[in-house]
Amino acid sequence: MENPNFLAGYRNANLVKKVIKEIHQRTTQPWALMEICGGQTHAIMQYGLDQLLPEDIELIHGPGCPVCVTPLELIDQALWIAAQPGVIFTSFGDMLRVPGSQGDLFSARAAGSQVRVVYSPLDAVKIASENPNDQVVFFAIGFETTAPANAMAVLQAEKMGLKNFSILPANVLVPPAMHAILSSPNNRIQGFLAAGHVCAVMGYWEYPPIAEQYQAPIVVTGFEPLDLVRGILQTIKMLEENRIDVENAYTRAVTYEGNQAAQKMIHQVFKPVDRNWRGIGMIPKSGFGLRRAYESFDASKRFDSADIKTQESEICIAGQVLQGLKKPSDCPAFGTMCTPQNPLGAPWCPLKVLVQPITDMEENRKMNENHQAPVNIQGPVCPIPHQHTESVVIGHGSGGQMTQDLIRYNFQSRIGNPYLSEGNDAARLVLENTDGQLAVSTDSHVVSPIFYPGGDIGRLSVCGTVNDVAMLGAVPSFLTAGFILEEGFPIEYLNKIIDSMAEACEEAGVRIVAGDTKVVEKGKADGIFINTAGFGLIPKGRQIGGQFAQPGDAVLISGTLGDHGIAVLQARGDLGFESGIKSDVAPLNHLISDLLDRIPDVHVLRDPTRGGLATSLKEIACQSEVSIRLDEQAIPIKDDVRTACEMLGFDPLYLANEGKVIIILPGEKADEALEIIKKSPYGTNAIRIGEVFEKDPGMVLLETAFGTTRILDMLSGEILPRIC
Amino acid sequence: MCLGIPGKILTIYEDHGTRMAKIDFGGVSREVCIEVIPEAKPGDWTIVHAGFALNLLSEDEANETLEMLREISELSEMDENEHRD
Repeated sequence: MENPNFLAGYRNANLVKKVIKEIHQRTTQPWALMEICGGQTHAIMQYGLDQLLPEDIELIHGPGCPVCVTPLELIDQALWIAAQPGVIFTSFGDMLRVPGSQGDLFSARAAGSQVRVVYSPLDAVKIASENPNDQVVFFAIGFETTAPANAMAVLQAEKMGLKNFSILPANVLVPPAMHAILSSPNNRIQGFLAAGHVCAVMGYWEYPPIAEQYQAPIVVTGFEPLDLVRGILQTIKMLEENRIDVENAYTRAVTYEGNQAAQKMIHQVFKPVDRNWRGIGMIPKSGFGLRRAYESFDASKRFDSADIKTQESEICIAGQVLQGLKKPSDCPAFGTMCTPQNPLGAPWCPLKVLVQPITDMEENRKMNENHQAPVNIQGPVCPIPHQHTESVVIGHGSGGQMTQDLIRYNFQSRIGNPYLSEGNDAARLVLENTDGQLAVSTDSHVVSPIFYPGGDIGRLSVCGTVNDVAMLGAVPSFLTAGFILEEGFPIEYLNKIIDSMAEACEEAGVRIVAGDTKVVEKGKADGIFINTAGFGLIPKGRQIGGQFAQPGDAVLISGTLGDHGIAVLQARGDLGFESGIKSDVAPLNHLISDLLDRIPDVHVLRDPTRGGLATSLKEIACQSEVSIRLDEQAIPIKDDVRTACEMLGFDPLYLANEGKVIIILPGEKADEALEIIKKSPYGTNAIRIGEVFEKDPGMVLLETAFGTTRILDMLSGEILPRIC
Repeated sequence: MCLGIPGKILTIYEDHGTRMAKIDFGGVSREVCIEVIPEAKPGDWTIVHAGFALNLLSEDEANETLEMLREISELSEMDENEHRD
């Protein structure tokens, strides 16, 4: 697809740096600007643009995240409705882990509610038409950007005559929030970056009176790095010239009038209503409720949930934090009653600290001191996952921080031993009376769907375990396989899976030497689960493991990232997108043995499976007590995988891979290693992506094209499609 | 607040009287509702949020903006060189 400068052109690092230089030249005094939109905050943090601005410019991150400002009482209503029998509750992914007063939608699902993630409100309508015996409810959050899609869902359900579809209206509006912020007697904000996609729908005709009334220039701003710095430049120019106006810096998507057909659709279905904002309180006429003609689609009426009124915390100062009036550490509850895992107010509040872990060291220290379990989330996480201790939720299997915590607090404390606590994917066992050591690993495979482009559960169950054994430098030889089959599972599929396992074994040069089969009643498993264990000898003298990275080492990756994660997600079909993306699932033992034959002094090998590259490197940095710096531009990601990530709001550095290996070895051996790896069919795109340092142990730092640095932490919970 | 990405309209069709399109986002395609951009035709670019097209994108505006930013940055470099002299 030819790309006429809609994205690539607006990520041009050179041009961004030049505009930044212009901002520096124009800025002569301190200015406080607010980007109202959470998506813009996200982009500013992702590219590290705030690090490039003059010290005199303070960016205050506004309350423009529809997920974070959804009030407690609406989340409690959502949880209540989701718990009703015969309800399928649908929501955008990022809403699933925002806590209400009793858990989040993930805990609701764990407790038996049917909660489904949708990409579009219209997908929820489709679910309703496919499930006529269930009541399908959509959690209609969002700003004006999402309002037309929410309105369309209601209109479409009406056209289709669906009596089993309703929405829980939770839309909020930007201009009333701007009034609320600017009219505060303590307001510090001098200029606004207006939210580009809200304006794509609504235009910016509502803003001149606001700019005039509060004497604050407003610039309609897009989301790409160049859009953001341009928006900041135009705002600063107006402030420096003492000029109050509304300007449009996102002309390719926004006109003064906006999309009038969209506005008409919104007003046909919705009317402005008073709305509570989480942590801020009631803002008059700042939300959308359904008009009388569409009231029958109101889930709060259909399920009588409107009576559920939950008081927001009285202590919480999130509202003042969001307006830039106070710092999170000014709050008496900060770090004690209010933690990233259990926020009292807008979940945005702890995020504001966590996105600036280096500059806000004092706040981090206070949070760590006060909190019983150390808070070790670094970098932007929004929403921050709720701490689940009562029952298992899906995030416990994400391969990220929640999985680590489950292992540390539930398994290691009970069955821990020196072998387990090495923390590698395979254990290294010393055999008496022999020279070599034995590598042992086990892995269960529950992938859904069982067949997907590029692979299937059979190939995965062999390759995953072969790779885990090979990551210790061992030569995998034998596997065991345990099958849990659900009553009714087609034998045809089973044979196909076993054939695929045989083929993968042949390729890897391993044999399955023991097996087990169990059948469970219908409904007690999902078709087929496979557990494999692998065994291989580690040749004498090899010391490879996550704990052996050394300062001066180079970090290599054997190929492109994220292919497996996206291929599986796409094959599930829930998100409704199509591409040619295939899983990379492959046995890497030959690639590794070719490498080790020539370069035995490799320090670390790890396959970045669940949790992706970022989580694996974070584990290694902690195990080896080193820091790792990555060059973002060198990290190989296919264009279509990158596109899928942008659509869904994923970071490809956190997506699963099943045929890639991270190699950490002395820097001077990197070129030779790459030459060897590239000869393997699974290593043709191998490349050096980073270096290991002594300073800042435990940190993984990503250097962007803009010369800024982003901290990479472990995956915090399940990867969810975002709208914000 | 609102993830929106540009895509190119491949085909247009109706679903229960609602205008829908298959849109290519660069190797990844998806069904998108284009009810509020009635003037859209295959080959047009649009900005999509949550499976819903918000607006058509203007290629001319996209290029003009980039051109203008290049000029600004060149001017500021010239200024700087003058200061150095």
